[in-house]
Amino acid sequence: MKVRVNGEEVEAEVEPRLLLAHFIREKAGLTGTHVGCVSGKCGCCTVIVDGEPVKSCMMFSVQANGSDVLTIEGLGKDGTMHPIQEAFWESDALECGFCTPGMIMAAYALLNKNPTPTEQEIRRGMVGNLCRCTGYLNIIKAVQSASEKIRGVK
Amino acid sequence: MLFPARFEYHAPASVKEAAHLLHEYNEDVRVLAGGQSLIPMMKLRVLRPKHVIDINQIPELSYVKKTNGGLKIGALTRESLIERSETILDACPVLAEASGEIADMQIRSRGTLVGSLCNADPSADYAPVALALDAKMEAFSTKGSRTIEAKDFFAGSFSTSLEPDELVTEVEFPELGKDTVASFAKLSRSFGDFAIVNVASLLRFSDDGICKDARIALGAVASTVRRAREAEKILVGKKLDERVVRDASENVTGVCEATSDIRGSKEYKTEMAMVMTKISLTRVLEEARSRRLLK
Repeated sequence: MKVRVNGEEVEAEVEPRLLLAHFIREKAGLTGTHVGCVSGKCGCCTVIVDGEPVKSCMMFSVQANGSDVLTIEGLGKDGTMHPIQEAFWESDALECGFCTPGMIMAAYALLNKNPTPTEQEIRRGMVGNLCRCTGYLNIIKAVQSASEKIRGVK
Repeated sequence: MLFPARFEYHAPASVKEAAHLLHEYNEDVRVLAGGQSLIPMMKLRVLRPKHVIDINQIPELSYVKKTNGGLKIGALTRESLIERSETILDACPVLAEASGEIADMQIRSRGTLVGSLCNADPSADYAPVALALDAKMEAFSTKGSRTIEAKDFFAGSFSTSLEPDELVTEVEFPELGKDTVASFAKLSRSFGDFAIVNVASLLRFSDDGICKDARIALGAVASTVRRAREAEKILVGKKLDERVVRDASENVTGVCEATSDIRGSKEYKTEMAMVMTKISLTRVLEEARSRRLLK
């Protein structure tokens, strides 16, 4: 199968049962996407496939054949942080960092669909991503801050 | 870190091809649409189909079509699309309402309405809406197609009346008239979690403000979604107020056969069935009032 990951073609022969999360980590060599649970609840594996947020552990990699995949590694450019990454850093929205790539990709998708989310819309929009460290408040603040940065109002 | 047992993967390009494959592999096969229930079950090896038929290569199956008095929705239509569809928000908003409370954004990007209905999880959010609104499923096989009404579709926990070689290609929901109001109410521990109880209610009013039809469907309180027909009868033919709504809500406990589990005790779920029915009906009444349907 062939898939464009962060703009670069990755080609590999895979078993149908290889999950997209494992393709990204093992075949594309991008380990920023994490596997945090077995039930599809935690969201640490969130990536963007053809513009839509997806839990990559709940998709077979063959299903992404011919698609565009954006991972956390695809957000920053030449060592410069994406506004969302910047916001997470400034708002202290990570502790162990395990959920963070998934949180950032989910925030990316949320802000794409809704550039000015209310607090409730952020809380409800990100229920697919769990964090065991922070208690979520700083993550919410980071998404609000990112929204302002992206719109250039900060 | 878990992954599925080995399987043979098929990606047919047409519904006919998919039906042939289903017929050929018969018992040991699963259809993959959204995969948001199937893939986790395969990862946990609760399910180990030898063959998986991926219908995602049949894009013609993704559609929302307005027909004469109805909405036809194709098997590949994603939950995220249903949540936002202008057509559905206009003709059958309760469906979009239910869709927006399912799981989370990522799951709704892939999950499908038809897939959810066929999975027949007793606590699925679409099921009460399908049952209350008399949705119709179009089932296709090598023998042709047939229409299955919602009341005949849900057979039990994770069980439908589909034959092993049938796949649902489309579901039809009615367009709700100006005299009709419907609402969906869900109780869950966190937004999007599996329902402790969910309720879809629908009321139709005559020109002089009398309730002439009532539907109440409850999920997560039995092995499959249930209509509360006795409660509905309490509402029909009456000018509705808070007292009648309360009486009807108290009556729904009669169709509850909840089991105590991690989401709540049997007693709690039954009590909450009453509470959520009251909330759902109250919302319908408020909307009806604002639309001047109550007189």
